[in-house]
Amino acid sequence: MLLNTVIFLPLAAAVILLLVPKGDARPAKAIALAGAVATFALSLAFLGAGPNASAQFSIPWITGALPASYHLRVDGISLFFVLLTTLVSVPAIWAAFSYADQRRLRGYLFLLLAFETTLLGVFTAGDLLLFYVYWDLMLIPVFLLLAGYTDSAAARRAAWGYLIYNGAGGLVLLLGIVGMVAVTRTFEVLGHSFAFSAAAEPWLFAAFALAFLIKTPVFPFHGWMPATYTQAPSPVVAMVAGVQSKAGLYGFLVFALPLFPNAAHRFAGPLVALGVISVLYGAFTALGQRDMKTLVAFSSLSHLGLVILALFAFDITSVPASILMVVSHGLIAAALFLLLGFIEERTRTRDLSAFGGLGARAPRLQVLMLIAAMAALGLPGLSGFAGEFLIFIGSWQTQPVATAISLLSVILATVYVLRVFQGAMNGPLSAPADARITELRPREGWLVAPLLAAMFWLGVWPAWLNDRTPTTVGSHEAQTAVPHKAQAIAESKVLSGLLGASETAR
Amino acid sequence: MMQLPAIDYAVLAPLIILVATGLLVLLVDLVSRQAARNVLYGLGVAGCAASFAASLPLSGRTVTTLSGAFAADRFSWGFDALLLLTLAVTFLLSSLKRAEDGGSPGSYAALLIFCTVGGMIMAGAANLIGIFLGVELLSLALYILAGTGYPRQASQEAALKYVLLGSLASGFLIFGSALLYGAAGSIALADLATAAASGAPLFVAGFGLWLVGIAFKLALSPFHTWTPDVYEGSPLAVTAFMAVAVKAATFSVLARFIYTVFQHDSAALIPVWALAILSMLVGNFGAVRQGNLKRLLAFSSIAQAGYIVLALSGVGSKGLSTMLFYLIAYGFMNLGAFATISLLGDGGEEYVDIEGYRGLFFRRPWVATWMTIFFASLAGIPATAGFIGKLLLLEQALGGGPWGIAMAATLILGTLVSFYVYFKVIYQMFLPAQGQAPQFAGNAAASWVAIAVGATGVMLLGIVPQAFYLAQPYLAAASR
Amino acid sequence: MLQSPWTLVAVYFLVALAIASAMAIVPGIFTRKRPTKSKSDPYECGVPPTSALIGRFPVRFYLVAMLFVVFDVEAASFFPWAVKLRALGGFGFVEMLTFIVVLGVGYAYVWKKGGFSWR
Repeated sequence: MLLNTVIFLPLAAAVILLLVPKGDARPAKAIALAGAVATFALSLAFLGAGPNASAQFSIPWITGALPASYHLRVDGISLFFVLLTTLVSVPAIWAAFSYADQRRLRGYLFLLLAFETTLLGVFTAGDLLLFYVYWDLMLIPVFLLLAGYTDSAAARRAAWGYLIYNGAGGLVLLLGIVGMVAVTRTFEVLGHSFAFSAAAEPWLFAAFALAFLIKTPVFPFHGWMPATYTQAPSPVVAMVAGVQSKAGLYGFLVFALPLFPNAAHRFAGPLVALGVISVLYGAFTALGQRDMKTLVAFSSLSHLGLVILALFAFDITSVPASILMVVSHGLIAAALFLLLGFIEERTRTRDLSAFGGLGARAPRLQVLMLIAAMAALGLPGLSGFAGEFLIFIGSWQTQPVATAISLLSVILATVYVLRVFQGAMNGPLSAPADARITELRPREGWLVAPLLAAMFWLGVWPAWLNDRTPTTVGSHEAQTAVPHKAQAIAESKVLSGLLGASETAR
Repeated sequence: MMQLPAIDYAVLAPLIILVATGLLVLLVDLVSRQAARNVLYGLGVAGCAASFAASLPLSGRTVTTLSGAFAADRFSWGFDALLLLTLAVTFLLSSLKRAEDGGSPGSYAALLIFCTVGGMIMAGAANLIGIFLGVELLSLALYILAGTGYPRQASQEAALKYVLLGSLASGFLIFGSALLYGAAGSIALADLATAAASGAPLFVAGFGLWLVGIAFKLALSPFHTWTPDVYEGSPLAVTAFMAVAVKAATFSVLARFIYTVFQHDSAALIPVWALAILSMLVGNFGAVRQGNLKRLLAFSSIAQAGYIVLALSGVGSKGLSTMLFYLIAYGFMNLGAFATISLLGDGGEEYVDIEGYRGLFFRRPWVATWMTIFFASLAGIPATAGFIGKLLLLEQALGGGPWGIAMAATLILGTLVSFYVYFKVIYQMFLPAQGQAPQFAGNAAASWVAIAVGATGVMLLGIVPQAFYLAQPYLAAASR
Repeated sequence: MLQSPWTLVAVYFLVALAIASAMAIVPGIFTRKRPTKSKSDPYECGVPPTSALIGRFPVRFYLVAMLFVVFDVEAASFFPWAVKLRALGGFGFVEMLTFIVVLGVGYAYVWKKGGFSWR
């Protein structure tokens, strides 16, 4: 019941929002924020359940030849994705309060809250059909926010890019799911393993992988990303970049890898290569950007490429570290985009060369920006470092070359992150846009604070997260042994569950 | 004494009641001088209800009458229910203050009713003559209905185009039927199976011609060229009826023919599948550039017809229930979409320019919201009936060998293109508003009822598809 | 194949087709064409044409013609019934009565709506 409450609380708040009369925006704001905060508070209850317990809720949904159930669950993996969602949603919704047209704020908040529900649905769905339902529904609020709540033609083009790319990924995923169901005869696939024919498995895995790679995104499937991240209002980007893009990795961890272990290993090489290309391509492209949001967008591509490397290195350290990295990147991306949004609101430009020296006029903004930026470039003590470090250590074991190449990104990240920070915050106050800068309002400071606090928390105590993930991951029992080549991998408690292979069967 | 056919009047009761309603409507129109439009339409809706009530005892049964010419089984029952629902909703949509009926509501209502009778005959017809009879009754009435908006020149054009091309298609249909009869020596579909198995050239030629006629009525590409013009020109309510009822009735014919005649010989269906693939591509790509909502929905109906053919891939009667599910879903979402369109635009004008929908969400939030849901369903977004329908179709197609996989891939591609098509309308509605807010049409209450019907169906089948499966014992297993 | 009684029919059709085509095509090959204006005019009993060939008829002619055809064709279905009246018995009688009633409604409708008035 708690699960259903957490998932649908944002939507309920959104519906209540519509009952508020149009004129006054204040009650609408209060309801939206209360809904988001309450959702976060309730989702914390999943933590108390202990590392191995998983909250479950399951009732039959469609019976017959192809049964599907309304199955929700929170386990060691989805727990952190759910928490990330509920945590990032609060500042995103709070930040949306300053939307220019207060009469349309209701619709804006409605869509953000509905988006939160779909995200929570994705991360808690235990049934593949249910997962897909939420997966596709995520498109609609984002599309509408991009199309209806922005005012430039470029943003509207971005809406189409977003819809078509992600729609294509979703449809290919649907084809993969239907193809999979032809074998499994059920959508209830979690915790089971199935014997797919050698001819079918690569195709099915490819269909799943394509959808997840587009969502993450990973080079060369990132076509929708720069425009979306740059053009969307910052609360929307905070949720898309901070949370939604993590659904790709989540899909790999929870569905694609356990279902198709053989194909996953066969494709590990190309996928690692894509990850490394993303790491470098993202970093180098970020170096050349003048638009600060585009720059952060490409840095995002770089960081998430690293996650793909970690995942397909199939190492006992790197795989759980990828979860840490993803959560940490979600926090960092959300914080950065929100802060950049504040700057954009004031200076009305995103061009880095159009302003500088903001720190002199807005010291609080400078401090918060500094923390987020340091986390992004991987300063020890902040969450970014913990994730990257563990990934590099782990991936080195199985993919030394790829890891070595990816290490370059650490240096590049330092360069581009410092460029943003130096360019915007330090230096002389000279450019015309500088005149418009004002100090952060208390609301703006407070709303970013939880994200920064979480970065500190994960930075100093990454084990808090790591200890909770592996054991629960391993608790999925594989029903039948699926033979695969990587003998060493089967020894790992983590991966025995992840890959659907069982140690006992050997 | 001659051998007279035994007639089971209980089986024919739904048809007889509907015909009687049609005659009654004509008489009432004669008697009452300034015939109140809504009285006539109310009579029509009552007739639908009575006909449906008469069909209830037939649900779940399998009987034939008229020497096996007419079957009442779970398959035809499902289609009858869909046709009657469509007719009732069409009456609701027609009751708006606009020149839907060319100022002659009596004949308009009667024609709609006779059209539906034709459709129901098609759903139950078990021989070639029955099929042709149903097709002609449906088509002849529809030719006139397409022109009832005759103050608009487009409506006249639509009627003329429809009648010219439609009669050509009927020619193909009857010529094909004649050849099939020649090949099999019988008009009963069940007897055609032997001839089909022999693969006689006469049979192949006959089936080819017959299929051309049917494909025309279904608007399968390349026989679709009439569709956009006729949909655009016809009065809105008639377009809605055309999009749903004609398609449903004709698909019932095609499905019964294929399942009875070909049974497990899927090679003979390759032309049908080729038509489906072409339709999905032409329909979706054709819709991309349309600025008129009715033309857009016309192309959409071409593509959707292509999707539905996927239900005929593979063997086994599961395809029939898939087809029926998709047609019902398609009916609900189309009727809903047309109902939302009918709600807007005062004084007889049809609100069909997509640019005109700009900012609708901020002016008429509820209309825009429902329209968004119906269009999302047409695009196959989850939590709507269209999604479950596509899921079932894909599942059916993937079991259908290489052609099935090719069709499934085309469906995916087509759906992606259709995202652009349908979201183009949604996109307009969410852009900042400009200009005048559209007026509501006269009798908005009737449209709201129609929207409610469509919305209930779309949401129910999308979120609780179980509802359909609970009705399964009563639906979709064709008798032979 | 040759034994089939239909072979002769096919031959008949082919011969007919051949003769007709020959009559249509052969003169075109051997004649000399020297068209003049009066030769190209449509034939109208040797009198110079006075008006455009395609004239306009009032639509009421079509209406009357259509109604005539509709109701006249019904008469055609009475004849077989009359011939087999006894064999068809009560069933046939009721059936025909229904038919006449349906027609009657249509007739009344047309009448009342002014289909027969010469406007």
